[in-house]
Amino acid sequence: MLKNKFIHLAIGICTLVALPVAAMSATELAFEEGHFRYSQEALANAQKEINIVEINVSMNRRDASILFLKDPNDKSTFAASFSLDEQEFNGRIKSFGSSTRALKKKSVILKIKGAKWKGYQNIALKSMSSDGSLMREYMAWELMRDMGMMVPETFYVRLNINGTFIGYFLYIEWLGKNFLDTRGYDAASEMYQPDDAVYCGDFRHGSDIERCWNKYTQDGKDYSSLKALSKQIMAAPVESFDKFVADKFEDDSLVNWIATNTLTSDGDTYNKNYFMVKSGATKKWKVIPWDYDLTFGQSFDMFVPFPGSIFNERFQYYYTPDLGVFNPMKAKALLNENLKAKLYSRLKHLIGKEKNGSEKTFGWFSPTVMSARVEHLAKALEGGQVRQKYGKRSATSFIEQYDAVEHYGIARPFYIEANMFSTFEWNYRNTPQMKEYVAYTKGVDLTPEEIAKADTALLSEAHDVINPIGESKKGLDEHEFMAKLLEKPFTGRGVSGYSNKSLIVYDPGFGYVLARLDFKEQFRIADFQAEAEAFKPPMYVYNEGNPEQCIQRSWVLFSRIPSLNIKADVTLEYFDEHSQKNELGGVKDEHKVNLWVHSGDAWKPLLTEVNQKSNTLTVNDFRLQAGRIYRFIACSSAESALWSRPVSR
Amino acid sequence: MKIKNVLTHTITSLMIASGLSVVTAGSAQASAYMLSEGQNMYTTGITYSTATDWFNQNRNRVPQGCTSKDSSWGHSYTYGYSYYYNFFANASLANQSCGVGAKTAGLGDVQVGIRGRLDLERNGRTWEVALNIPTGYDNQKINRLGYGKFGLWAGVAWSTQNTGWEEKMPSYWEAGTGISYWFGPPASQSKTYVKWSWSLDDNGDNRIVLKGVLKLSLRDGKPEFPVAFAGFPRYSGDYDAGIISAKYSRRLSQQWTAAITIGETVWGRNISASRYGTLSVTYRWDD
Repeated sequence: MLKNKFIHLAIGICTLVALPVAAMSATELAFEEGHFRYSQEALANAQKEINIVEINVSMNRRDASILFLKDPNDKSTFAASFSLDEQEFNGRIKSFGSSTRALKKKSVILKIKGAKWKGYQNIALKSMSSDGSLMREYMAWELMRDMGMMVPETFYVRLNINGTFIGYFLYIEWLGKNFLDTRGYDAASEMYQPDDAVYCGDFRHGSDIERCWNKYTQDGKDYSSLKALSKQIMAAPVESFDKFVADKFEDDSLVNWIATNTLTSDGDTYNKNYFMVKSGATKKWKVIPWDYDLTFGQSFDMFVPFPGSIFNERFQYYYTPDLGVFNPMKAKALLNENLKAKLYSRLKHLIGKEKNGSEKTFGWFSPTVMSARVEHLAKALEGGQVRQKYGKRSATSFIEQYDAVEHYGIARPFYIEANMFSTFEWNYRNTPQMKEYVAYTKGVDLTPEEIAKADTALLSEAHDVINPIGESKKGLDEHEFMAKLLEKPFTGRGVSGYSNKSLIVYDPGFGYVLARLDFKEQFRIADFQAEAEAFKPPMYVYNEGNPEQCIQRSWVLFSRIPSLNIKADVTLEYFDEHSQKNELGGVKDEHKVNLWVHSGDAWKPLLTEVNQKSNTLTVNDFRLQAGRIYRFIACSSAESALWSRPVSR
Repeated sequence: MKIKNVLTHTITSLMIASGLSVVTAGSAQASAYMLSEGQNMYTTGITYSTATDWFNQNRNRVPQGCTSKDSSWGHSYTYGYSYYYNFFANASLANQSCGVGAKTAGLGDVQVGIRGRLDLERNGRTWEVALNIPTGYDNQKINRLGYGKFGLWAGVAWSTQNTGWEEKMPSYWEAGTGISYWFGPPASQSKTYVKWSWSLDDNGDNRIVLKGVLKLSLRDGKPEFPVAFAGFPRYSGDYDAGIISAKYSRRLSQQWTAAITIGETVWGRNISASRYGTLSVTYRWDD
């Protein structure tokens, strides 16, 4: 009896102690990373109903076929009628876009004749054909809209031509006079966009405003406002650039733009993809971002010619906020302490580090919310995407694509947290672009290619500005970063309690994900340590294994909890950023790679799910036991086909 | 008054310094490329051509007894009417002389035509038909501006470059062939060309184009029309010619391209063994 009472008392105490932790775990954190949080509103927002609008086009059958098969640069239009919002329109249809013109599924414009839809004559439908997941651009615009930025309306479209489902497209509101009118901008307002054929809309000294920019409103030939702004940006001191921005810009669009580009890893913007709008009433400026298809891990491979440079299966989530070309607006914003603090605050809020903003956006970009968002979008799109006439992928390939976006959404917050708010102090002063900035302040335009040939005195001066004499260096430049990266294994530790959810083990120094553990069983506490020896052939391989036919990385995983015995899906990642920086070694086909594990007795092959886009390898239902050290390698061999399969759901 | 005089003088000079040789004027400027709907392309160029020898009826190269000095100002305009059809027109102003006979200057034949696609799903494969229209000049002169007859041209052309992206291809081939038919004495003639374009830079802004043209009479090869002297037919209506040329072109901007061409007639029958040089510019724009 006494024994029973004691047991009941013990259970009661345990329950009281455990309940708050368990409750928090169950409702708030799907990923037990411990330091990213999110609001329920943000999670609900990520899973809100997705608006997919049907547009039915009728046109000549021969024209309909040619529209998608013709010479990509051809700008011809074809007669078409179409229905939208239960209204009927007549007009023309044509393909548009830049790099995606080379792909079969082309973006199209429906041009209405003699009528308007919501005040517009042009209905632009982006093909999203550079994005196998069909969700990158959609998510980027949702993020900016939720942040309160003035951005175009977007929604998914199911485009049918002559009754045939062509594919999913993204409607994007036409930026021009009507866009400004509907947002309260008067007729004196001005709108400019860099000409994306000349790559110079960046406010450098050599950026000829009239050649590098197009003006869409008011007097299309008068560029005086933008010219004046360019000179003002040039003259504005870094120390007071925040005051300049407050004085010349309507809102936080400049910082929000950089925050969005940082989160989504968009470098394809600072000299071509954005708009500058000047209000006729306030005489102040606003940045309107543009073009977010090459984001969320898409990697630009500068070492191969188009189209491989853009349309490739490379991946990254580890670019710092200076990514993209030099632009003095970006440079000065990142060098000014107040604007940098504002940017950091915005990023902390969005990844769920600090609740210093609205409920809707708190944790918008946290791993849990991003994971939920991607899965939700995938469910909405997967049924239709395999039936697209152009640009369709197999169900397996689509999973691989959106799984990669999900991996980006999970890994990116860790990287940002580790590099910007942790021990690694990222600073624009330590980036290669700082040389361009110093040259810019001396009235010289330098590109990265020109730096090696630049005037010695200028470079020496740049060096002194970047590393002031007598001041200790605060961060690492890229070369030092790579040297540090190669000299020791990445190491990280992840701890979680009272959950059956996922655990990310990452290197807090570099921000790289070392292991993701999706537990299959409830546990009281999990404490895992992981190491990865990167950019090296595996030191130990199985008999007859060829280290050169292995991913050039080895992983070690172990737990310090004495009694732990738990089943989990274990995901490991490797680098494949571009053709000159990857860990592929002699591996030609990543889909023919499988993991091997050695835990004290012998090497054993593991049934492995491969995502060649995000460069992740997953072994399901792997039993982890305390006291064991698990060493993993990933190799390609004749038997790999039996052990390797694409990532699945 | 002074301004008016200067303008008149300038225009007269241009007229005299310009033109297109009768041989060129009678040939369609075949192209393997279609413009998009609403696109326009205008090319203008000044050509100077000279020869001291000619290829006689036996295809032997012999002195022609005079040095021909021809200059021309050519104009070519193409309009993208729709995805399926382009319209084009060619005209030239010429100034021609060869020792004997009066110098001739003025407007030569005008050509208007239509171009379409052989393959609806790609660029670089075309057909075209054109009408050659005489413009009222005296076609009995030794130095004359055209054949003086209406004619028809029909041809096809192919290119290994089929999309705009491939404008940046390191190199590509183009070939074309067709037939000219005249409503009158000039002999029908086949024309075939092959050219190879090679980019000097990654962007394809600077290109070298090597071209060979073969024109073959479809009649008996006897000289037609007046002769200058010693049996030299200044402009025979029945001739063969093998012409080679090299061109350097530079894209100055999205709209403008400049080019310099040199060439020579290296083989033929009833035609001058002329050498020529052309300076030209091309301007493209959208409606």
